[in-house]
Amino acid sequence: MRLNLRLVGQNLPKWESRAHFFAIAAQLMRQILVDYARRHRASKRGSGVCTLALDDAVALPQRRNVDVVALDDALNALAEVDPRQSRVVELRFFAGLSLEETSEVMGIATATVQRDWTAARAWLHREISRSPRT
Amino acid sequence: MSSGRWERTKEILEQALRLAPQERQAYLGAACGADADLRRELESLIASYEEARKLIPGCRRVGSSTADPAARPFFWY
Repeated sequence: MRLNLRLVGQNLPKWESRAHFFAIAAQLMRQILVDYARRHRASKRGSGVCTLALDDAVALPQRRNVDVVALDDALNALAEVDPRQSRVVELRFFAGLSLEETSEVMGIATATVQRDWTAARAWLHREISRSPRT
Repeated sequence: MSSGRWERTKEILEQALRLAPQERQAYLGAACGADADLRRELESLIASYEEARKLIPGCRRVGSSTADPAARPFFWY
């Protein structure tokens, strides 16, 4: 809901398509959450990793706490390897789209989304486990 | 890594994860052939996937305050 208000408040051009809307929404949600987490982390330096209860902000299938700063860094690294896969994760994670919805919005096969998503879970978990927690 | 190689890696990974753990080595041997780097990458990704999966129960305890958030699967649903 908060995200929708921000979108309405921004003076953006009319949406070219549904896909465009979701792409912007996911990017904006990512930006808002990461900015919030970075500020929170900066204000509590030394107190450990900042996690955010995403269920307050996003309709995710499960409640979870996520280090969105680490996720953001890992997603940037993933985008260098595979921009499409990074977009799949953005839509699934930050816009809360299902596999089928992601497939529809991106115009790619559901099997492709599933494959990208499966590999992303393995890749991101490894990337985040490797990175030093600051 | 080239995009073609990463696409191939994702395909093999997906297929390997569909198999029982004891069948994966044989499959990886056939799929990777003499490409030792590809095989190492796949074994690393499979290990990471399984590690994240094992942590799911801790993640599903909604409202649990005893579990260390840092030990929960980072990215899973």
